[in-house]
Amino acid sequence: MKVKVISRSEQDFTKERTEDVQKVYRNLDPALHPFEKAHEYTRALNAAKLDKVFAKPLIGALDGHADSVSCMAKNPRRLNCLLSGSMDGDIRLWDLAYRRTIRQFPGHRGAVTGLAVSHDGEHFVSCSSDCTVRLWSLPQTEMGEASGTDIETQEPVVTLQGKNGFRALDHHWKGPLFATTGAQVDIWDHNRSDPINSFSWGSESVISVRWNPAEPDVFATTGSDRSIVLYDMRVSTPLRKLIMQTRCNALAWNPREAFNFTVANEDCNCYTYDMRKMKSALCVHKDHVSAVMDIDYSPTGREFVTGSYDRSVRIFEYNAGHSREVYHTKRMQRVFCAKFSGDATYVLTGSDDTNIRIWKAKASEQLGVKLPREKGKQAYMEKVKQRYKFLPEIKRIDRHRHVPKAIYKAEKLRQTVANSDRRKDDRRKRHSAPGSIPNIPARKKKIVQELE
Amino acid sequence: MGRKSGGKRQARPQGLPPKAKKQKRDAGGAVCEPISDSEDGAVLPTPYEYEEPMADEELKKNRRYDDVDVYEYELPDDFEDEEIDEDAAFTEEDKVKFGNLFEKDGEEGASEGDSDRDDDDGDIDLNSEDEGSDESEELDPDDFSDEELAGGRDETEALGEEDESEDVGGQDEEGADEGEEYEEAGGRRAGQNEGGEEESDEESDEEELDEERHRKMLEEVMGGARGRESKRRGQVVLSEAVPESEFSLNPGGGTAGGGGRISVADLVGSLDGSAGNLASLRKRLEKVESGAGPVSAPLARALKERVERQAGYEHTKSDVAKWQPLVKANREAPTIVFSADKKGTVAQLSTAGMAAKFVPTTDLEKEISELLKESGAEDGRTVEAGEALELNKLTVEEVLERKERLAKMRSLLFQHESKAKRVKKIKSKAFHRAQAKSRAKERAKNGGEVDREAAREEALKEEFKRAQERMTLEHKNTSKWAKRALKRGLEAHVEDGTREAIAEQLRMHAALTRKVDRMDDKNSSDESSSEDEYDDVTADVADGETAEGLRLARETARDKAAVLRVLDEDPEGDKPRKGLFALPFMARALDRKSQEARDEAMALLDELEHRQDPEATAGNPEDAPRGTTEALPPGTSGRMSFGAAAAGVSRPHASDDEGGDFEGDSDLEGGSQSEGEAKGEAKGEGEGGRRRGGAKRGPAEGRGKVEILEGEGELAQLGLPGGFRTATEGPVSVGGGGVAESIENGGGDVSMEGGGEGGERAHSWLFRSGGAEKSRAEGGVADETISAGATVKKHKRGLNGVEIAGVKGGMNGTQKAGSESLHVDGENSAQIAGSSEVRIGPAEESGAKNANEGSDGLNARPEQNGGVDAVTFLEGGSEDEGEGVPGADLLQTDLSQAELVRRAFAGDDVEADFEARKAEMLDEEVPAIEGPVTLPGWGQWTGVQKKKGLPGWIVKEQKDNEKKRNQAMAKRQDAGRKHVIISEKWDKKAAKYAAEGVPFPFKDREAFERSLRNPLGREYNTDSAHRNLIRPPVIKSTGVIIDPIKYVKPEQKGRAEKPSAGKKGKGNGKDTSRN
Repeated sequence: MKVKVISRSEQDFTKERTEDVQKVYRNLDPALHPFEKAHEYTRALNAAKLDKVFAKPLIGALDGHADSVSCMAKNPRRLNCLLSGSMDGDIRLWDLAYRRTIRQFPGHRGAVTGLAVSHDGEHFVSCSSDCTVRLWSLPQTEMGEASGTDIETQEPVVTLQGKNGFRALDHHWKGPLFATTGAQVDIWDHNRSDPINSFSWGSESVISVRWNPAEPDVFATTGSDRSIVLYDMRVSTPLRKLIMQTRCNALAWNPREAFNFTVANEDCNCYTYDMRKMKSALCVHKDHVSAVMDIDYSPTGREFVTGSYDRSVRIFEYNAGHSREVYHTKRMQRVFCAKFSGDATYVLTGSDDTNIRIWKAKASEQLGVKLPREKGKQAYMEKVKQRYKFLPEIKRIDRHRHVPKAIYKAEKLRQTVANSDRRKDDRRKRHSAPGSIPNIPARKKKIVQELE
Repeated sequence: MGRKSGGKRQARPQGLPPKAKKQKRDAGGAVCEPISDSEDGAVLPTPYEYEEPMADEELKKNRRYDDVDVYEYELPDDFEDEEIDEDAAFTEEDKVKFGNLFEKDGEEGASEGDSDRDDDDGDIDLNSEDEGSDESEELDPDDFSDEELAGGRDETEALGEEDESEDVGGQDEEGADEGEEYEEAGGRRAGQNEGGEEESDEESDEEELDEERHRKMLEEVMGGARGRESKRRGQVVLSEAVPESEFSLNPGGGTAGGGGRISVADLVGSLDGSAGNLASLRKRLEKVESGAGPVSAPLARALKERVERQAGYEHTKSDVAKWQPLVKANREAPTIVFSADKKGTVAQLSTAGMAAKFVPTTDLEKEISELLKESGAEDGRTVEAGEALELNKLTVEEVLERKERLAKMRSLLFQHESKAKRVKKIKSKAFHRAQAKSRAKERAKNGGEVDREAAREEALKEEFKRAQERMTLEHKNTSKWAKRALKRGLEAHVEDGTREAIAEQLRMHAALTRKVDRMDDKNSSDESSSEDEYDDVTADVADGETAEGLRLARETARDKAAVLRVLDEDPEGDKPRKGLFALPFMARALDRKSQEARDEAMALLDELEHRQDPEATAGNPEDAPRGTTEALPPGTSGRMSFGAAAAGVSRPHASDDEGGDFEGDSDLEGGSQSEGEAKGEAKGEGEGGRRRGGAKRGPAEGRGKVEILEGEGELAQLGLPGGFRTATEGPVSVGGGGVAESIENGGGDVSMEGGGEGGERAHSWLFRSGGAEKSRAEGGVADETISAGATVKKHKRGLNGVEIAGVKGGMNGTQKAGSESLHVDGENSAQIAGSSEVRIGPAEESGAKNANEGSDGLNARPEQNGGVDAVTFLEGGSEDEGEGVPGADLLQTDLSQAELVRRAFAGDDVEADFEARKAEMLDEEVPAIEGPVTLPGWGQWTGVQKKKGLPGWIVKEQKDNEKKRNQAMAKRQDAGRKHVIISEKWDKKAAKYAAEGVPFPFKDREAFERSLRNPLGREYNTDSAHRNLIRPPVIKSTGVIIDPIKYVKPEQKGRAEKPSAGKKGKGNGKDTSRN
């Protein structure tokens, strides 16, 4: 008869080094682990609470501009490089790692309304309400601590004169082209002094422009005639115009989904559209309580950041109706521009209070290098939290955000208004012939017309 | 063409420009060619409009005042212009024939150009005056004099104008009158003309005057003739069946034959060789016909841009659609990775990989590789292949043999297949039944062990069929067909076989439902035997015994039962009292016969009992049957003698045993009583595993055979050698005397069934000795019927009131021994083996132990040890229906299942219990509301309250409370459900695990709960599973720039975007060029 005995070899349990991790033998027999749901629930609850504890999203503020920050541009080639333009015509290049200005680009005599870095990261262009577009070369070397404390200035490479003031600008993702908007949409080449192409549809001014990162010839603009217009360089005409009830202040393409874009609307909402089906929005993102001023997609395409006139910054999932995060500080004023960093880890916002703020994209994320076990643990906690986030207590803790009183009140007010509207609508429907008052979904409600 | 219908004054859709009008007028006035009016010749006047033919005299009259003769065509000499009556001019046939045609023509014309059409109007009118018939060759437009044409035209125009002026207000009487007349006659025409003229209001007065004069002149000249004409005309118009309109200009018109359309060529054909302007007209016509019109004007800029935008949008749309599969894949991927270190991973090296990359460098290596190459063994694969080739070589004989074998196999298979096919085709049910039976027999013969599985399956199938039948009653004449047949009366179906079919159905029903009351008809027929078989099989399955043993046991049991029945028969009972057989000699003969039969039966019984032994003593064949031990001489096996002797004896004794304990039973052994020891053998034989023995057992029919040995004295009496005696004492001492106590405690009667058998010896002795003092009453009852054992198991649950204190030693103690023992003597005469120990408490263990020890005592080999099997049913005496059917009997007697259940739950008012519990629960969850009550003692001294009862408000409140409570109860989910308790207590602790409703991404609650089911932690999952489970949806690393998506052609082919592959390629190139 064979007798089983417990035996262990000494070697298996001897650490060669102190940092060696001992193998843990686990018995996975479910009978030995009752109440696993309760255990994991508790872990999820703890994770939710810890998230709150560690939620410290604001990393720092970049101080330097003398007027409100009107626009920013990130370098597609470098992470620590940020350009910002202000209302007084000042353009600054920031070293994000050291949070300081490393160069200034004087020249504009009006507010800088648009900034964009070229696809190769060697130049950038700026436009201003002083009817000029300037092309600058972007210094490559002097990043880092070694570059000293003094701020150098730099002259533009080219200055291009336009007839009207410019409202926005964006650079092509593949070639030396950029588009400016204002009275019309102009496409410029780095090497030419005149626009190589101009688009106009209607006479209203165009206030924002964004190239499609994936489909390089396509771009879109929003106009003060409450329109969103699609363009294609190849066909040299505008393609389609969508008129909404209120105007869109900004537009951003989803970098992972070539045909989807989101607009930041004056009516406090963002709308995601599929450029192929513009009869209806794909998703309406609600939560801001004042006009949304700027929007930028995370390079992962899974979320986007918005800056609003209500002095808050929100982060939305690309397909969620409500924001997953809201950032605000006491001193932050109206947010005019917001950007996701190139590695999808940080969020940068420029606001009326002349500051640029750096936030974490995930408020409670631990920055820095993590050990594999740490990573695993955090992934597990996150997953458990995601799994149980619908349970009441966890939901309450996870969803709770403290917002400034103004926003809180405004939210309440908007809720009240929405409720009464709905009530009225219901009553109207109830007292009308069935079907006479159509039920228009929110995704279509704000669309006035689609022009061909 | 292009005229408005009716006489209404309507504006034409497109105004006639004044210039054109003028031109027309000029032409009409001066020139005689009717079609020269049509400016570009696009549309020519239709000369076929019906008009009443003008009378000859009138023509002449016309000629009288205008003698210009421009006839280009000479009528043939024999031409007779027959006068056609206006009514007869157009037959119905014609209308039918041409109506449509002209409507079509009109439409066509309408689309061609309005101004031209307007020009034609006059001409048509004019021509129509003279063209009454549809003979176009005769009535060519050229036939008529231009003056006539002109005159006619003037007339109409003038008329129209007058009409108009009348409306306006100022015109002379005559004209007005005439106008009126014309309104009647050709009002339609007038109105139509007007349409054109209305627009040209600015027509000169001069012209008007001119026409006025002309008209007056005409009147003067023509005098009253016009009046006549007008009247006749009126009639003509009225006779038209199809109203004249722009779609049916000339209802009667058409080319000869009427089928074809008038083409431009038809009309222009006659212009050949005409004047110059006509030639130019022809040219223009040709141009129009060829379709090469002038280049159309460019679109308006806005329109053009819109078209461009539309086209561009469509193009871009289809272009971006290529991203769809990529985007979809990304969205659906559980995890997308944006980390930079994808390329940095080091490929795992394998031996094969390294070997493949190996390049010989040193001399030795090179040499070796050379050698290998030469021998063709540089690669492992080639070496293997070579080896395989070598090994695969076969000799000729081998090949031949193999071939033969294969051929044989093939032919066998083929034969088998064809046979199976043939058999399958046979439709006779009887045949198949016979087949099945023979197959079953075959199976039974060559080893039930082999297909125990099959038997079990078969049994299950059978059982299922029975259950189905019981549920559906499919064959109980419930079908429509059967009902109908029955309704009609079976007599009506004598010849068509319906009767048989119904009978067959009923038979099937009976067969399928028999299981239910199996116990009732157990000993009836063949079927019951088959069910026995089934039962045995299940028992076998349950107890893990061999089917073979079972079968044998069953057969033996049956045979024995039959034999015993013969033996049991009262020889006097069925003796005829009178008649031939009552005669003494006959009676004697009968007696003798029956005696012979009994003897024979006895012998047979012996033989049957013997039958078991060889198998039981598989180990030592020669003396197996008898020898319990070596000490025991072959002949001394008590069993044989017991079986023979006790069978006769036991019953009478049993009947007077009343004690209900086993001591009483010990009487069974009859005369062989010794004080303090009793050896009883109750051997009741019944068929089908029934045993009735003992006083309370009523008619002795039990199959079981009880052998009780007590004490050595008994053994001595039996002539057992001392050695044996001593051997038996061992186990007995162990067994103890628990039985008696237990039985006494039970108070009822005891029946013991021991399925246990002495292992190898299989003498099934019941060593009940237990020492003289202890074993006052220990009964080992070995019941040989396995089925009984099985039934015990089966009904264990059912027998609630019956305590089961079973020692299933033989079966449980050592499984092997048990099975063997079963082998040995299924039925045979209650081979009580080893000592059967009956206990109430830890019966099984003791039994097992006992078995072991007993066998030890017997010097039997351990594995052959007789197991002890004693199942005791202690039954409450009260339930035993007075006659005291013992537990074992209870199982085996003919009780239906319902009866069993009823008995089992006799003292059990489950429903009342449940209701009480529900009420209690309700009280807890919906507590009675506490209302106001009177204070104790309040008002009592006066007696007032007593008299009046409670104050009204209190009563009211109480009533309200009661009502509220009732309402709350009625609202509960289990309100209307008598047999359900649904707790509605809010469990606070459970609440935190429950989400409100179904959260958004989930469709239903099940899906949501499923998502929560498997835990994620590493305590519950393997390492890899855990890692997979916790992988985040987006993996990115800080500091790595994530570039926009790049286009990669999807893997799968045949996508919709295939046509634009070239473009995609371009786009792709651009995409990848970035970075």
